[in-house]
Amino acid sequence: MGEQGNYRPPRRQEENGQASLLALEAALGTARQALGPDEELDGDDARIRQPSDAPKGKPGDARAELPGEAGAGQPGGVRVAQPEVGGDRPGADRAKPPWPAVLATTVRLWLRRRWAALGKLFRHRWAIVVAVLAVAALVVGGLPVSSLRHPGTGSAAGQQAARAGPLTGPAGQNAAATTAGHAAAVWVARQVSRGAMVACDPSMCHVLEAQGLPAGNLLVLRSRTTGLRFCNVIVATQTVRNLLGSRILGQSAPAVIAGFGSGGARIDVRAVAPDGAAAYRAALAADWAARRKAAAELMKSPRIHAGDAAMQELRTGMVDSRVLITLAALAASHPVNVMAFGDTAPGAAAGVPLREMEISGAPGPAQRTAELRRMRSFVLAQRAVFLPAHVTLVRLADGAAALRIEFGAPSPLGLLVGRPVTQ
Amino acid sequence: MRLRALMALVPLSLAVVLMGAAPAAVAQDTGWIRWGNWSPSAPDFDIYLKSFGGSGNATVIKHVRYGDVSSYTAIPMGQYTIAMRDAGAAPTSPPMLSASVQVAPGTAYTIVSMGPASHLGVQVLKETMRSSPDKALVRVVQESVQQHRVTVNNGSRTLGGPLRLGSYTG
Repeated sequence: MGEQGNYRPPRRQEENGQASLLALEAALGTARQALGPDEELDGDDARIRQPSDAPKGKPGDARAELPGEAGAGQPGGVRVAQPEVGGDRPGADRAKPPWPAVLATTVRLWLRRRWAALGKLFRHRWAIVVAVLAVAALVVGGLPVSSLRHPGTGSAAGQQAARAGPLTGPAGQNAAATTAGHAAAVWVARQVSRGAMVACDPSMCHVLEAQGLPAGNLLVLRSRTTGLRFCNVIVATQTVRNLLGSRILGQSAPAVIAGFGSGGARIDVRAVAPDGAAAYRAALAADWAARRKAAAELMKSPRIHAGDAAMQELRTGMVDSRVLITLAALAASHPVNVMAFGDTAPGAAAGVPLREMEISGAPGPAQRTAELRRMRSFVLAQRAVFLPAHVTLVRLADGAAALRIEFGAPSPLGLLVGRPVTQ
Repeated sequence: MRLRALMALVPLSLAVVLMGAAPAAVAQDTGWIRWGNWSPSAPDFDIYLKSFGGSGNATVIKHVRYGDVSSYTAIPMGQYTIAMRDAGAAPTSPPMLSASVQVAPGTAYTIVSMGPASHLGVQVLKETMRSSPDKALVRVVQESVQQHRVTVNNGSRTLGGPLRLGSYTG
């Protein structure tokens, strides 16, 4: 039950497509001004406004710099002035009415009114000056404000957050971090298997949810990391690296299946190893050996044809086991031409299998499309791990039709050697 | 040689498998395979095994009912796709269950469906075939969809467990 406390409550998905991108950018950039009260209280999202996170030491500085609060005449300064005015109400001295005193009081009050009028004018101008200065501070100090909005700093506690690179990094680094965050979120939303559990920091989880990942599939990493072993993937932002440390991260999620950005802005998408790095490496090695062996048999099939590059990828065990099994299953009923294997995983570590293939069917153009449609129907009727994430009829550069089949990440290990498969 | 599944106990549906010596006359390039349906609410299956290399026809076993376990069949070593289809479905139709098995020479495997109909699964058990001459090996497989964990005892001695769905004693 302890883990359940870390899960975000389900929310209705209201945005997708372009709207999701806007939500993502909002979360990375301007979302802090739009956060609702409940979201502000959402763990580390609220912590972003704590003094330790602010570029200056004063509590509230960061909040005061947010657009919409500084230049809009927020009541803070006025409220400070009001007690002064209220505290000097005329008539406070009526308890002693002697004429000299009354006269003196009248003169004093007249002077004070004049002074109050001047003071009021001054105060208004002062407020304007404050507003102008605040706007100027936002413009000049845009860097620290935008760095606060960076997801990599969103949930780091105290000093950990302060150590995060983007907090003090140059503007270019922040832009790079934002770009990397955006790219990572889009990649995870498209490439990670739908049923997979994804661990992420609060900001990144927010963004992933906006990208369409079900809230129930997100494990929000805060101060505790319990539940990580039940995840399939972790999005390792700077915040997550600060939270877990490189040793635990390397032990819990040793394989980088995609990477975005560089330096402090680097975001790695890693496959979680529930039994530790050594067990994962052993399973990966066994899977690689099984892939090579299975692919060698596949290459003997008279119903499967492939070009030199694809053959080399088969031979060297680079092709995902689900692709191999699907290829074998298709070849039982259809002749299959493998146009290419591939993967859209930038920055993936060596040895991460290729999860995509482009295939064509019968050689005659008239039959080819119909054949591809039959193959697509067959593939789309598969279940569980054998159901691809995307199946698309595409037109190749030479005008020929092909079927692109993409399986989700991360690649499951052990399927070829009889790992139990639940549909 | 005495290889057979004894039973699938109700309601626990524990599959108890007796294993004696290795199958006789094992060729260098041959393994052994058998199959079963251990999913109590699943329909009858037709089970297809097809070589990755495309050699020969698919091995097809028709109408495998719940509780059935076949005898072992020799099969050339290599990688196979496993497809379980509703009994009588066309061989080209999408399978209800898919998996793959790598058959090593001289090794025996049991391929079974498991779980409730809503969460059917395929399991490939690599069998241990060697025992002392005067002993038999017994393996208990936990395939109950009603009991989450099962412990196997022989008198006061615990043989295995707690076993979850799909797990088995050594």
